[in-house]
Amino acid sequence: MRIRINELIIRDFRGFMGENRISFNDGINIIHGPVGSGKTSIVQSIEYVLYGTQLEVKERVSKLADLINEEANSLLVKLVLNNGIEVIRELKKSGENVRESSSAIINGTRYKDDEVTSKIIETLGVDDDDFERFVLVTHRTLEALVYGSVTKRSLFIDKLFGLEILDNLNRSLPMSQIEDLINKLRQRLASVKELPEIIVKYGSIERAQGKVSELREEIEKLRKEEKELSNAYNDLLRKREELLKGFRGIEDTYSNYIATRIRRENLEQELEKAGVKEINEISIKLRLERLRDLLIEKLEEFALIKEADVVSKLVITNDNLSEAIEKVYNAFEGLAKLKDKLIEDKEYLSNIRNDLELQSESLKASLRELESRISQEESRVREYKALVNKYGEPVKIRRDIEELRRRLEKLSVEEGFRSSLLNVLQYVLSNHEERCPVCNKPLSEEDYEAIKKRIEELSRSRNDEIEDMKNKLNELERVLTNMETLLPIVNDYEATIERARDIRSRLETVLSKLETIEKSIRDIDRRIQTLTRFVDEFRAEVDEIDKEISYLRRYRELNSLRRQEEELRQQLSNLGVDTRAITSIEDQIRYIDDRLTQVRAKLSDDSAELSRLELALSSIGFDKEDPSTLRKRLDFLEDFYNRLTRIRAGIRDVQARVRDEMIKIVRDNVGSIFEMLYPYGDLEGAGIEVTVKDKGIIGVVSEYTLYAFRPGGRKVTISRLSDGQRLTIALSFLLSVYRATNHNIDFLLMDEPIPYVDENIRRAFASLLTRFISEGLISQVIITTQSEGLVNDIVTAAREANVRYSMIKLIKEDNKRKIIQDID
Amino acid sequence: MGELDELIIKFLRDRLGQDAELAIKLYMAYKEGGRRGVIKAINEELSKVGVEVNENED
Repeated sequence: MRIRINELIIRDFRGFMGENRISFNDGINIIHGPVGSGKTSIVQSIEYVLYGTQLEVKERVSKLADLINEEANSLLVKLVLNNGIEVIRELKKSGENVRESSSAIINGTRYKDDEVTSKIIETLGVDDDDFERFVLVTHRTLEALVYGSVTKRSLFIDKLFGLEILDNLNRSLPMSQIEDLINKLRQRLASVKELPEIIVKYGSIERAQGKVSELREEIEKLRKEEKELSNAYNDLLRKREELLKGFRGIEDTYSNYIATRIRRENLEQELEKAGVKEINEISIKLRLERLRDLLIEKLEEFALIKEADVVSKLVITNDNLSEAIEKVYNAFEGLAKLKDKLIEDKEYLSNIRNDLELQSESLKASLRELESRISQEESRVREYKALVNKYGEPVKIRRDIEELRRRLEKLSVEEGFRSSLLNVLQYVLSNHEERCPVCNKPLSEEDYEAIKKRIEELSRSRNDEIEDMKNKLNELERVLTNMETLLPIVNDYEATIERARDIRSRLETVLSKLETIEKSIRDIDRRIQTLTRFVDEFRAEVDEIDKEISYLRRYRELNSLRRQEEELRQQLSNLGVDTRAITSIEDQIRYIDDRLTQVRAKLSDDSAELSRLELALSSIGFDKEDPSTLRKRLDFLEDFYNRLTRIRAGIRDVQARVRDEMIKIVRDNVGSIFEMLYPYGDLEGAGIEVTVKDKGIIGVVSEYTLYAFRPGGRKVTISRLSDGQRLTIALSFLLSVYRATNHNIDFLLMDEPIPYVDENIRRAFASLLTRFISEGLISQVIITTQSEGLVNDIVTAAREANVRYSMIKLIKEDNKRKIIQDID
Repeated sequence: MGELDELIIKFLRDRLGQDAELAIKLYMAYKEGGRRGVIKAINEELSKVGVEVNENED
């Protein structure tokens, strides 16, 4: 059984002080009273008791505490529904806040507090949003449906369909805030661009910070050392200056000595490092000569005559080792180039071989195909040849057939004549005619004798001969047909044989070329291998000898430097310079100089690293987050933002789909309800359509059109209809939404639905209300109005239609409100 | 949950694939707590990386 309201009890609810009770019946319940008498409060109390909230509270126009009467500290609302359902809510002030307790009895079970709202929603099948959408009808609802712009109407219908929530959800998504978070993170990460590298290098920010301390200590130590070394260096320079002070004019000799000494020491170190103690010039010369001879042999072998000639003229001595090896090497390069050329040739030949192999494969495939064809045709060709042997060529057979036909024709004519003559003679003989029936000549006995003899002669038939001839003719014709069928095969066979012969010949040519090329490739390959081996070995040896010659050159230079140094030292000693003391100072200066260079290099590297680290670390500070955490956060936020963007687009699509679904559900109902509610003949039905329009920067919007049908089916949009007709369409539409939703409610609350309208509309509306009931669209309507006229019109219409109604009058006296109930 | 909710949730699932669960969570959050509910649901997600948004209008 669908749910209706039986009784409402309110205590200290808004303007109502103390306890007030209203009973409701099926049919129309009119709550009538002047402005401020509490009509809307009654409607609000019903929504509040059902859902623990109401529209004004939800829209933050008022607070829950505002529902409690100003003079009281608590309120109570009790609603009794049919089916024994009762709901009670009590609201108590508690300081600045309110405390609510609630209970409900549904199907004999009592529910309390948190359970109440969900159980009510489950029982009614309507939540507070749905309740406000289509159970509670205000003048705003009807006006929005029948007046105002298409845009406003469309927004309202979206709201009525429950689609507004999707728009609101989209607007609620904090896209800008998330975008801000992303931008800030990007800025932070950009300012610490180097941090990822630092983390890779040191492992973590903490370790990098540790490294900063280490570097600072290290730099401190290096600076100290640099200072000490610099001081020592300057001391040594001073000492050297002092030592040389007394020896003016020997600067060049001294510089020369020091430079020679340094060069000598460097060379010694270099040779020692290379492990060279002694150089055998003879051995180098002999090895180079052996290489030269080997090279000549190889150059001649590979026909590089000019190069061989140059090398063979080369005389190697201990003094021209460098030039000799250069010449040997240049000639050897000729062989190396030849090797590369041979490799290129081999590659070229390999390509030709590949092409020939492809050709050969292709020819073999063609040959296989032709041979298979030949073998298929062979038996038919044998058959043909056997026929030729037996019957001759088709030309001959055709001639024989012609001949036979001629003979057969002649024989047939003769036979026909013989047969006719025989018939005539037998006729003459059997009838014993006196006269010849052909020439009418009298016939004698002799004639008869002659006739008998002739009959005897003519009785010998040539049928056998004819039959043989016919058989022969048939045989030849059959053979000819057979041969004509076989002839194309025989022709093809012969052509195929010819083609096969040609292809075989081409294949043989290709195979022969292949064999030649294979041989050439093998030869080149052998030459390449020989040359490669030689080139590699020769190059290794020539490099080794070249190295030894280089050492020899340095060794010779070393000996020369030693001699030169000794001469210079002698000169300085002769001038009274203590070379031992001064070289000791020079050694120390060099050592300190080297050390200073090392320290300064290290200092420079460490300082650069420290600056970089400090700069990077300062951008996040030592106590802030690791960039990898920031990166992860940024990735997450970007992904989340993208998800929300997709969700927004998805919600818009879903809204369009739900809209279509709702239109489908509602469209038919609007028409049928309109027909029930509208009693005149000038309109036959109503409907609703939705069109999607692209409004540029505003985006895509859906526009609803409510319309009626004239007789004959012509559509009339709502703007062309009278107020009464519009009202009927609006109510038809509301009721169709009401009916399209699967719920258990069977009442409609109308809070001042049509204020400020003229009496015609009022009457039309009153009439519509009674039709709601009489047509069984709804069982109970609770309507509030301040209009005496509307009350009278409803009462009149209800009486005329025999619809039950009741009257609840609200009276406002000073600040008190009273309820006077008058049930019809 | 009403019929309309079921229809919306069905379409969200059809349309949004792997984002559908988040969309449904946000839809239900809006139904129950309006914008505040949505912000709360979003902050639950954002708490995974230690950030949050507030209820101020975007």
